[in-house]
Amino acid sequence: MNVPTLPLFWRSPWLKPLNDVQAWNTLLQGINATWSIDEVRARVVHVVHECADVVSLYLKPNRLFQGFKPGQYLALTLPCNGVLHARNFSLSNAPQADGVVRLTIKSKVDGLVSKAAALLKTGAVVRLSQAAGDFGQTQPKAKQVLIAAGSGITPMMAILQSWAKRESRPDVTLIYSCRDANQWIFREELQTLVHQWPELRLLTHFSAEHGRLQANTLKQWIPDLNERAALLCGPEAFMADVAAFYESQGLSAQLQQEHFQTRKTEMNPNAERFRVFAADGRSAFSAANGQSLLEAAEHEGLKPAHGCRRGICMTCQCRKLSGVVHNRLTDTRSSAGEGWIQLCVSTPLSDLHLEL
Amino acid sequence: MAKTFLHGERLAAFQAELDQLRASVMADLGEVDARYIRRVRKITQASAIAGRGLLMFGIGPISWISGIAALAHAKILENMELGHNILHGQYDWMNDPSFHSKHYSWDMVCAPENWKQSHNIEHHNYTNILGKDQDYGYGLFRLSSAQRWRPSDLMQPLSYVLLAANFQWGIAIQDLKLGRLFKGRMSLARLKHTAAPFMKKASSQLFKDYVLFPALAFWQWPRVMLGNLIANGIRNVWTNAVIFCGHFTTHAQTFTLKETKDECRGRWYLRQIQGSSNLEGSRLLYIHTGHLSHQIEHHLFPDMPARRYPEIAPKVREICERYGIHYNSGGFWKQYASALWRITRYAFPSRKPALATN
Repeated sequence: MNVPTLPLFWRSPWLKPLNDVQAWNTLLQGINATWSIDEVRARVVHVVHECADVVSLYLKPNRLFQGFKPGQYLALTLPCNGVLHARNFSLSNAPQADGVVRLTIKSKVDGLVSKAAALLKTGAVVRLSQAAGDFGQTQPKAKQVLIAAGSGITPMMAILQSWAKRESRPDVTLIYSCRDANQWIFREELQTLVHQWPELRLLTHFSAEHGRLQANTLKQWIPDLNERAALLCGPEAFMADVAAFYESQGLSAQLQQEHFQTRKTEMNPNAERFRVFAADGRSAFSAANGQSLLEAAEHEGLKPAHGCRRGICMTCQCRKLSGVVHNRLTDTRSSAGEGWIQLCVSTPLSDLHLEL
Repeated sequence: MAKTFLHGERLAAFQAELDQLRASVMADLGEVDARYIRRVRKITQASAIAGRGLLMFGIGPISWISGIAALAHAKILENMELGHNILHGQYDWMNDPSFHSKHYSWDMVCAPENWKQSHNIEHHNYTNILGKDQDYGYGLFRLSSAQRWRPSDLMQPLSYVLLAANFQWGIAIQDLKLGRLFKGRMSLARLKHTAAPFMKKASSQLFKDYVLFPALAFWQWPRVMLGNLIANGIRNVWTNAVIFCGHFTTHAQTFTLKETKDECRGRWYLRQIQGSSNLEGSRLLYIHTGHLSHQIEHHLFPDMPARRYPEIAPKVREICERYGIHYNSGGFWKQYASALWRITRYAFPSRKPALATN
């Protein structure tokens, strides 16, 4: 799935079933649950409850894991009621000598994976992807500002840990906003770091007391904001505010952002037609609510694979990357994230990204 | 037995009850179903490894026979409970590529691409419609007095035995519709196109069972080769028996295109029930038929994980009773005997039935 695939010779159909990777994995995992031919699997070696709703998992990945750089994220795959779900989480520690990585996860009300992660115990084995992302990968400037809110602190923690190990540490101001002191993730860890690192300044903002952090007050907090290269991570609305402020100051070039949600589709119940995008982001066709996606695609001259046109044969099944559809056969509404849909019985409720 | 037709509000209520039944099960799918299918796969793989191991490295006739039994068992489980059901998309919801209908391939010579066309689309859509459902008699058998008798039909008990022993090939070439080629209604180029997946799949299957594994057994190759042939044969006969019990028993109805014109989902449900027949038996029998023992439930809800069929069967039966629909069910031998009788009976000429009154 995410690791170097086998050389062509070993993938030859003539070697079936001797080269059935899944069967070998089952056998290997009968001996040791972290063994695999092609999957990064990791054992939970330690679980720490950071604060209300937030848990840190210390994971020891198998040898297929190729390592990571601070600021990167990876996908954690967990079965939730029989269904495999994957979500991206930032790694929250700098690379360690013993190869243990840390994921710090906040349970969200509708977050299937985050809720399942909170239930993991020491010794459990999970599936990971390779690390990805380019957040915070550039050399630190002499003066930096890190702006984080909520669980947006996780990549910052990894970045701070790695900078702390450098010979010439940058001058860093960290602004962290959360609801109250009980929601403060990595409180002790940050305070320890501040003691060891005189050029690290920590400013916290508790929104329960002082209301939401206003982006335009940043300048009052940090007079030399203009001179500092900025890293930003947090909830979408918060990031949008800060990014808008940076733009108004003409400082956008200094700002690097990490979005937890990459593709976002807006629900718009009043829209008559929704746009459907192909996987590469190009617009493919448009479909009206109430019209099946299959008909809409055919109407615009596309020819998706299809069969019975009544939802039983699965020929028209297609991978949805994002967006919400209504299934007319089951009268259910899909999630907004990745999933399989049947074009012949699905009608859009938002703009969609599909692997056509 | 006459066909039952429903109309108006009664038909709508009937459709709604079945829709409701489906929705309640689909909403309940989860951990248990996922664990079940993973376990079936583990047992299948263990059985295959044991079977092939005994055939390749065993000594003496006892290990040979147990090897054949284990391999045949693995092939039956794989084809019926895993392959058939996964290719219907019953486990797509698990979001696990190794259980997904788009990626799965099974241990037999029929290519999934061809199968999805001939089975999932044609057979499940046009179930028991004469002239539309290629599964009805497989173009080889006359099974209803609505079909015209030809002298060649006298041969059908014999051709049935041949088909049963080579059933995987029958299924594999079904989608190729060779009859059309002979009648000159299909070009050779078209055939080449549809046959490409079959050629690939069949050759890799043949290579596996009759070249690769025998070769890996060195001087033991004859027992491996023969063992694989017999295991494939056992699977063929079993699969064939189960499938013939599903649609060709005495009371399984046939339909005409005219009867099914502008058919709504309720009417479609009605046809699926009346064109199918169930087997009664133990849980082990159900699993080894891939739950095609519950052909009626399978035809109503082909994408519902099959282990749920025994659970909903009493409810379907109860609904059928209330609407006065015949629910065709019986023990394996009773149903199989009735299918065999039908093959024998219609080998001989029969009178055309009175036109069904709609």
